[in-house]
Amino acid sequence: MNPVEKGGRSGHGRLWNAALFLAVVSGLGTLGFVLAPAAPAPKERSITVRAHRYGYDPKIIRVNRGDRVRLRFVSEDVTHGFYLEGYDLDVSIPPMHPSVEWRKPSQPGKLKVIDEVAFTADREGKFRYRCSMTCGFLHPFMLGEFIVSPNRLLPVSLGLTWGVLVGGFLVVVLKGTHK
Amino acid sequence: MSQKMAEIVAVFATLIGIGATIFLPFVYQSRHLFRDSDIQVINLTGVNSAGTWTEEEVNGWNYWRRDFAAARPVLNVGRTARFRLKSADVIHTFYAPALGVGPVQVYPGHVVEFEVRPAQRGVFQYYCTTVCGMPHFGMRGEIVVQREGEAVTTGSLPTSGKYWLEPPPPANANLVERGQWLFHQKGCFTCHGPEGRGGVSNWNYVKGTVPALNALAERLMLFDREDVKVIVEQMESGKNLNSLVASPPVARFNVFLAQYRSVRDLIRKGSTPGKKDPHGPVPPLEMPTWDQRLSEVEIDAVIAYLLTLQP
Amino acid sequence: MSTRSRQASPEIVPGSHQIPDTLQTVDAKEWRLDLFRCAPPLKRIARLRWFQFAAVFPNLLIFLLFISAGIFGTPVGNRNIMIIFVWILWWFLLISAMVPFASRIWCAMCPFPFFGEWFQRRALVRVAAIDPKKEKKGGPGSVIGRNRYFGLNRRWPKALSNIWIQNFLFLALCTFSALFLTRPIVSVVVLSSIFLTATIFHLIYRQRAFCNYVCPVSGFLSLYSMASMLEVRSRDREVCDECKEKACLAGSERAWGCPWFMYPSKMERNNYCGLCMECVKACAHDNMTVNLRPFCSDTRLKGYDEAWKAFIMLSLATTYSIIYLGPWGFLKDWANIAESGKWGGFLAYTAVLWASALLLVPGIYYGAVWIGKRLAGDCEVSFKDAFLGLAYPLVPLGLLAWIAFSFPLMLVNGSYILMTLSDPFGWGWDLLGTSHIAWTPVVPHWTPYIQVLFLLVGLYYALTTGYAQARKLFGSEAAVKAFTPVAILLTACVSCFAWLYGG
Repeated sequence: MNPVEKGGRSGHGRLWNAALFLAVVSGLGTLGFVLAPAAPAPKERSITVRAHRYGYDPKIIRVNRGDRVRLRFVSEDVTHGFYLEGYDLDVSIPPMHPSVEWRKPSQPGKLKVIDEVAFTADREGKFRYRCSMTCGFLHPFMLGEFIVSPNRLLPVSLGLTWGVLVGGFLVVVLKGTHK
Repeated sequence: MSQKMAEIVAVFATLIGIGATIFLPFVYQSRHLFRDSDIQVINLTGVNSAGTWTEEEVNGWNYWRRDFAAARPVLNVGRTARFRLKSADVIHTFYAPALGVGPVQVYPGHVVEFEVRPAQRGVFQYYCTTVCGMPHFGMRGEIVVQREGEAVTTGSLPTSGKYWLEPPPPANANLVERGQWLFHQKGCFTCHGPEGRGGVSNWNYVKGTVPALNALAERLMLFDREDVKVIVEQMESGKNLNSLVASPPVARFNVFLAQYRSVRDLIRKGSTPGKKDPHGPVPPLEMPTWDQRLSEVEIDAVIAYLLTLQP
Repeated sequence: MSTRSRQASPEIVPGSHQIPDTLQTVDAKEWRLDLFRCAPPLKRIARLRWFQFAAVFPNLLIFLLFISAGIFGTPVGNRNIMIIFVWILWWFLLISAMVPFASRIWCAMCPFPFFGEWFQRRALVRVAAIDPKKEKKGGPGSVIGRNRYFGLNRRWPKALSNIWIQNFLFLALCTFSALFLTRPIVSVVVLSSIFLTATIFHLIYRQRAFCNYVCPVSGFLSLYSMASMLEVRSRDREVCDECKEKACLAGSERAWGCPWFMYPSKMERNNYCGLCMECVKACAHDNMTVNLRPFCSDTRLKGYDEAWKAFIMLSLATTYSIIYLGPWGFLKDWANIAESGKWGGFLAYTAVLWASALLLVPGIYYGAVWIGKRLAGDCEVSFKDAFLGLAYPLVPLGLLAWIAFSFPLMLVNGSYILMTLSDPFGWGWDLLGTSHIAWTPVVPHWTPYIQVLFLLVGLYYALTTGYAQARKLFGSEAAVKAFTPVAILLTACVSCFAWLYGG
C-alpha cells in the first residue's frame, strides 16, 4: 500500500491542486477582510487606566480608528509602566503621584512629565500594552489589550483557518470525481 | 593511546572548568568592588517587602527571609565612599538631601554607583521617595558621618516598615477608631508624627518640619470640644455635610465647610512642599495623592480622628 | 518490515513500548538527504570519540553558572541569567529551532546526565569494551553487550516502560510554571532536582533509563521530534540484516551500545533517539547516517502514553497562552500562588488544567474519532488504531502552537538577553557594554500576525498528515468521512487560538 500516491500524480495535477487550495484559502481570507465591520465615526475617549500587580483595569481598551484617546493613569501599588505596542508610547506611572512620565521609545532620553497622554488611534488592529517598569515577579506577563476597530486580523485569520480546511477538502473530493 | 590522552584531558577540563565556573564570578566581583583600596564601598539594596534600604547582601537565596535590617552606614569625614544602590524587587528612589545625594532612581537588577566625600560630621537622613508599596513610608534611615577613629555615635534607630502589620480594627469600630487605625496603617504617622504631633524634619521645606495635625479642629473653626463631637456624629451617621447648610449644626458652619473641603482636597490630591531655598534640593517628603488609596468614607474617618486630637 | 526489532536483543532492551503491529510503518519513499554524504566533515565530527563530551561540557559549565546566579545573583528574574537564558533563550531555541530542525539534538548536549553517565561508563571520552571471545563475564562492573558499565545497572520495570511518568511529571511541573519562570531560586530548585534525580537514576538503572522514562523535558521532545527534519537512520537495511556484530546495539571497542535502548539500525522513529552519535561510531559498515527529511515524517504514535502527551502539550499551550499572553490579571494571580496566596484560585486553575489535559481534551478528541469511525463504517480498524492514528495531527499542530506561544516572549524580552549577558548575576557588571540598554521589544505589534501564520502552518500539516493517516487506516474511499470530525475539531482549535491571539 502506497498511500499518498504522490508518484502517480502528475505535476500538472499538483499545480492545479495547489492553485485550488490557495484560491480557497485566500478567498475566505478576503471574505473575512470584507466582512469586518467598519469603524463608526471617530470620537473622543477619556480613559483612566489603573495598573496593579499584575494587570490593568480596563484589561481591554476598545476604540475605533480615528478616535482621540485621552489616557490618565493610576498605579495601585508600585511603579508600573504602560508601553503601547505600535504607538511609540511608553509611560511610567509612579503610585500616589498626580503626574506620569511619558516618553517615545523611538527617541530615547527625552522625557516629559504630564498628567494626561493624548493621541489619535490611527493604526487599526490589536495591540498590547505592557508594563515597562519592573514591578515584581510576574512583571513580564503584565499586559492588557488595545483593540482598534476595525480589527481585521480576527476575521481574516478565521477565514484563512477555515479556508485551509475547506480548500483541503475540495482538493481531496474533486480529485476523486476527476478520476 | 590517544583515547587515553583524550580521557585525561577531558577529566582535567571538567574539574578545572567546574572550579573556574564556580569561583571566577566571585573573584571578578571582589576585584570589581574593591578596585580602589582607599574607597569605602557601601552596598545598599532596596527591599520592598520589608520597606528597608539594607546593607545586607540580598540574593535569590535569602530574599525570602524578608527581614532585612535597615542600613545605618557609617562614613568618615574626608574619605570617599562609593555607594552602590540596588533594588531587589521594584523601583525605589534613594534620597539623602542633607548629604547632597540624590534623588536617584534605582531600577531592579541595575546597580547605581556614585561617590560621596562628606566634609562634616553629622547624622543625615536618607529616604525612599518613590512609593514602592505600603511599607514605603517607613523606608528611611540615617547615614552617620564621623571623624576617623571616632566611636560610632548612637542615634535613633532607623525605622523599618513593619508597622503596617497591625491587625485591622474590629468590625464594630466607630469612625474615629477606624480613622486612628488608618492613620497608623497607611503610614501617615511616619511624616506627621505619632498622634499627629508633627516634628518630622523635611529638608529645605519652607516650614522646616512636616505640619502637625493635632490642631486640625481649630483650623476648621471648631474651637469647642462639643462642636467636634457634633460634627463627628454627623459624619458617623453617614450624612453629607454639605446638606446641612440649611440647618447648621455648629456656629460658622460655612467657614468650617470650606476648610473641611480644602482638607479633603489636600488629602485626595496631595501637595508638593515649597522650598525654603529655591535653589536647594527638593524636600524629600511630599504629601502623596490618596484619592485612589482611601475611599470617601475612609478620608472622613481620618479627618474625624484628627479632629479629636489635641495639641 | 520489522516492527519487532526492539525485542531483538532482550538482554539489552529492558522494556519497549507496546507496538501495535497492525499499522504499516514506512510511508511512501519521501525524500531524504544523507548529510554525511553531502557534508563529510559532519561525519568526521560525529565519529569523533569526544563529540558528545565537547557538546555537553560547555553546557555543563553554563548550567553551573546559571545555578550559581540563581542562588547568589539578584532575585529580580528579568535581570538574572538563570531566568532569561533558560526560559527565554533556551526554551525559544529548543522549541522553535532545535526540535523542528534538529530533532532531539538537545539530548546530545544536555548536562543533566553528565555525572550519572560518567559514573556508569567511568569514561568521558573513551570506551570500556570487552573482547567477547576472551572474557564473557567477570571483572569490575557489569557487562552489557560488549561494554562494561558500573553502578547497579538494574533493568527499568516493564510496566513503566512508557512515557506516563514523564506525562505526569511534566504536567505537575508546569502547574507551577508561574513560580519557576519568574523566580531564579525556584528555577534552581527545579533544575537541580532534575540534575540530582538524573544522577541517582543513572547509578541505579541502566544507561539512559532516566532520560527515556522519567525526564520531564524528554517527554515532549520525544513527541515533537517526530515532526523534526532530522533523523538518525541506517542507510541500507540489507547491510544491517547481514550484519553479525550489531555493534550499534551491543557496542564495540569503538563505541557504546545505544544508551537509549534502541536498535539503531532498525529505528523507524525519532522519538527515543538522543542523537548521541554512538551508533554512527559503532557501525563497522559505515551504514548509520544522519538524514535531512521532510517535516512530519514519522507519523505513528505507538501508545496512549504518547497520545496523551500530545493532549497535555496542547492543553498547556492553551493554558499558557491564556495566562501569560492574555490580559486577565486574576488568572496570573491564581497561577502565581506563592505571592498572591489565593489558594482557591490556584486549586481551580490546577483542577481545570489537569482535567482538560487528562480528560476533557482527550474526551472531545475521543468523540470526534468515534464519530469519524462511525461515518466511515469500517469495522476492521480497531478503535485504538484509529484513535492513535488520528491523534497524530496534534504533533505538528501542538508544536506550531507552542512556537506561536513562545515567539512573542522572545520578541518582547529578547533585549534582556543582551543585558544579562553583560551582567549575568545582576551585580552591576558590564562585560560587553550592553548592561544598561533599554528594554526594547522587537516589532511587538507584528506578533499576532506571526502567531496566526504559525498556527496556519500547523493546521496545514495537521490536516495533511491526519488525512494521510485516515487513508492508511480506512482506505481512500472512507478516509474523508473518517477524518472530517477530527479535521473540524482541529480547525476549531486553531480558530480558538486565533481568537486568543488576534481577537
